Amino acid sequence: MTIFDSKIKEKMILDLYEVHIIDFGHFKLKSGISSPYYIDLRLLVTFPHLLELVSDVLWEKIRLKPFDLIAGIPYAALPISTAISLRYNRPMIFLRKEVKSYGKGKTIEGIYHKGQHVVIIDDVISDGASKFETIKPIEDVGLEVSQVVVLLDRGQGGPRIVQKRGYQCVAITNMEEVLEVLYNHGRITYERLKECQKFIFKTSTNTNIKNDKTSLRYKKV
Amino acid sequence: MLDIKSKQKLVDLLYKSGAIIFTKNSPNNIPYEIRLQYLTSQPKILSFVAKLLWSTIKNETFDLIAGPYTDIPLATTISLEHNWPMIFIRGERKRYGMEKLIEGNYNIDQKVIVVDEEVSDPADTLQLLGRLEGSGLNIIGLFVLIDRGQGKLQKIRNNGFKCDALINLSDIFLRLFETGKISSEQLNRTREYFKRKLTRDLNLL
Repeated sequence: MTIFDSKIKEKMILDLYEVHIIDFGHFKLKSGISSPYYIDLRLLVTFPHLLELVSDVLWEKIRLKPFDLIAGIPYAALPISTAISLRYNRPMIFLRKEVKSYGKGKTIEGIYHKGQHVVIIDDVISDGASKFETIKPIEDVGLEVSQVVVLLDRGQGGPRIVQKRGYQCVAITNMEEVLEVLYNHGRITYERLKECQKFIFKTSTNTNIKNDKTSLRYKKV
Repeated sequence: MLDIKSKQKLVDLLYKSGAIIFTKNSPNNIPYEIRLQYLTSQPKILSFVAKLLWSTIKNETFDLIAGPYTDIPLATTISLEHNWPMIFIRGERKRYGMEKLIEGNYNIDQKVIVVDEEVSDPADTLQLLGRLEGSGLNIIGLFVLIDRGQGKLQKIRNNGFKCDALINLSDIFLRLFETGKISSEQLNRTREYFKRKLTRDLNLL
């Protein structure tokens, strides 16, 4: 990570906080538990300049590995991949979640040819399971997945799980880093930092955490 | 409304990109195909379409650009290139968590321009417009790339919404015939197809 890269990433995190895309409080997640923070990257559409900044940050990772096509996972990553496609003039395909009665599952829209390499883009990664819902239809039509690039790692071991299945997977940032940047720049209090860190520890399945029983599920490679 | 030169350039570009093709046809088959997904895969063309759409909406007064979840790229392109906030409308409301029907920030009474590639099913389009209005937004109008006839845009207008397209089918076929991309025979075949379809809003020479 060059100094330039980390400055841009810091700016992005501060901006995301500024517009409440990163927000703190009490949020009910779909699992039912209450989280002290919430990140909603779908709100990027309200802030075109910030959408561009996010696309630039992702591009720094994307450009490192050759690819033919960009594929964004619906819906939060669609504006992001469109921004990358426009700014860096790269063709894009996207997965259509079929909602009509005659077909379920995803179909691929756009121009593609067998054997082409695809970089898959998403806003967040949790346990990684949902990434395979996108990888499969892409491989089914003869395309190859070059890598999966995600903005935020939620700390549930997602990148590792995807890598174990043979796909390169990288996250730009994670909650620990986000909290650190916000605390260092005086955006959140020490209490808030601790509250969030506790929550992350409690809900994380990161194998680096000592005495975490769930880590026994994953063997060290 | 677009000037002739812009319409011609648009048709030329759509044809060159493979978005419009003519199929070998038997009497009952549709003689042409317009594949708009070819558009969203090619950033330069997407950008050009967005530019043309912008030229038709820029004189309206509005706060937000809105796109359906089925065509996020087009609305996003306009949003990025003209630094205008956008929202997009989901198909259905999810039952859990923080998922909303409309993504992006908006306030009640804000004015919205809706953009899409075309009106494929007026019922779906009206439902989408209804969702926006139901959320307290003011629809200035719906602007699409292509009017494929069959009175679909009129159906939207009949419900009280302004609705305009950059180009229609006669713009496309005339230009393709002018530039020698289709023969007079193909042009006639196409005309016959539409006569059979009793589409009254297509006026070919």
